[in-house]
Amino acid sequence: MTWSSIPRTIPRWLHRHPLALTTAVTWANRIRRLGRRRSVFSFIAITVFVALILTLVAAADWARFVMQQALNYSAIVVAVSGLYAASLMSRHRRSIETARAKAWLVATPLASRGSMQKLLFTVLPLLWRTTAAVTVVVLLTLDASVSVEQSLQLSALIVIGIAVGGPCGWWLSRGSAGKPTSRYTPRRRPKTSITPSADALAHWPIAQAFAWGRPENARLLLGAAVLTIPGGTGILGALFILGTWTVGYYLVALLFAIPHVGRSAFQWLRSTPITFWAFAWSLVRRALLHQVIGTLAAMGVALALSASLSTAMYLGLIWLALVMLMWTIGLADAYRARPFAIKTAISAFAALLAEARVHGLGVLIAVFVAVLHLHLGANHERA
Amino acid sequence: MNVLDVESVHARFGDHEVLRGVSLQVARGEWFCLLGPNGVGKSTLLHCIVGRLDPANGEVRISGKSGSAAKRRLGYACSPEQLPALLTGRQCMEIYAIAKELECIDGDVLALSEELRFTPFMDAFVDTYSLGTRQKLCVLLGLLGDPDLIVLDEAFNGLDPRSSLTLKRHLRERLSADRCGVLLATHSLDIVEHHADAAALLFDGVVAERWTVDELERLKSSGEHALERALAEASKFD
Repeated sequence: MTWSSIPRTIPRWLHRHPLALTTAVTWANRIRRLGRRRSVFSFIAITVFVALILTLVAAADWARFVMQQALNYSAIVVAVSGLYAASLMSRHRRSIETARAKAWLVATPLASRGSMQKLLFTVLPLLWRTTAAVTVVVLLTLDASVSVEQSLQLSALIVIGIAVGGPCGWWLSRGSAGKPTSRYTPRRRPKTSITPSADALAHWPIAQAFAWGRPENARLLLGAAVLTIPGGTGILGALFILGTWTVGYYLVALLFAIPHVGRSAFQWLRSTPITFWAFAWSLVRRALLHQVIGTLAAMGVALALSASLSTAMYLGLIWLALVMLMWTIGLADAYRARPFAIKTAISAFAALLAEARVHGLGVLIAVFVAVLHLHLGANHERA
Repeated sequence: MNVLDVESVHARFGDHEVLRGVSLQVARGEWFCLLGPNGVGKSTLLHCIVGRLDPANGEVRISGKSGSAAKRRLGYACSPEQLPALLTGRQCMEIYAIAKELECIDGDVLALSEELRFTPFMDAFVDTYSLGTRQKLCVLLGLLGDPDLIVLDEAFNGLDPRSSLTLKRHLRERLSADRCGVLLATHSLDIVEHHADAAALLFDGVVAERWTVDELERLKSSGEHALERALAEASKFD
């Protein structure tokens, strides 16, 4: 029996596992598609390779420092890798079982087999991450200042954490996994009336920032935050550090949430006569309030860390200028249905570079670009 | 002989009981239409039948079998959004055939593919298909392997009139030859009036009304919109 469209490179034994076969053929097709754009593919591959080498060289000292610290606080390393493994396993089990339940092959006899296959697909992402982490730790022994014993000790700590956390994550997600939800939850007598309001639009970027901040999405950051707590820190100190990370993360997430959500929101509302100002203000107003409050809190933290008032205010001003720059470009270009990612990145980089050279120049550039884009957005509406 | 026996099936999502003891049978050679307003549990019932959802209570048998053995006798046209975007139509058909443990793609499915004018799209990726083309692929997948029971969920949505007619004729041929039974969840009263041999109205998680082919004929002859009125009458919310 031959199946002409399935690449010969895919092993025959995968034919007994149609879901895995689907994934394999999808990847083969993806690579085939990339092959059609060889120049783009080569450019991306070379860029990633060069970036990887540069990162490894640049981060070698830092990685050595982290390794030393990690060995000093072995319990934290075990806890962090355990938490990471638990959240990863739990998320993967849920997503794989839900995907299986919703899969196009659900009604076929072969696809319903294979609990081992399910376990394997859930464990594989954890396995390759563990292998990658251990490989990096082992590679650090190439540097003379890191001994093989240290490297093995750290690898063992990571593996212990993962070996404990992984099964816990699997077990914790057992109840919720694989149950497709209903599209309908009928409420026959709604208690509240529906009136025209932009409240939901204003809440959208905040909901997006919270979604990015769920443990399964922000687990790496959570791990990094825990690792920054110095040894001997009291509980209040630790909470203060974690709180600072949380506020910082939220502000950055909100910064990116507005352009991200702006595009989807305008695609949805494109067919309505909504004006640029109504669109932009509805989307931004609550997020802006959160940014201002968050920036004030961050300034308070800077003051607590014995920065001067003028420095704290200056940093706050730069941050708000960056927020204004990115949001106005994002919203105006979303409204004008134009791509904005590269423009935003270049503008932000240019403003920060100018600010580093001449104090105040970057802020002025940000204000100018923001006003220009507000004008472009409003003009597009009239056009 | 029945190709589908659903006995007292209950299904719940959290505290909400979507199906409250649904029973129905589809005989070989019968086109059975499942009707009902949005959100009453039609798709949930189909999910229980195709094995996507385990009923909290009750039993589903296809040609007297359950579990994997039942799936060998089942043809289910999945919804277009479930199709893998980065496979070609041909790859989808071949993988589906592998998953159904078939030796080759049935000749009459390939012939139907020609009739539906799907064959020219066979080697294009699914993510380049229009809704109608995806729908055609879903139906073709559902017909693979000469199944005893064909389950279709709004399978005529997005099909152009010519393709819709071709598919109805193809299903009718299979039914006339007693090769299968068809269970179709639909809102289209046109299909019920012209093609159904039996129909049931699902409402509030139970079968609220059933019509045999004679009763459907009677409704049809008792004036315009009679079926529509009967449905509206039987599906009034409190």
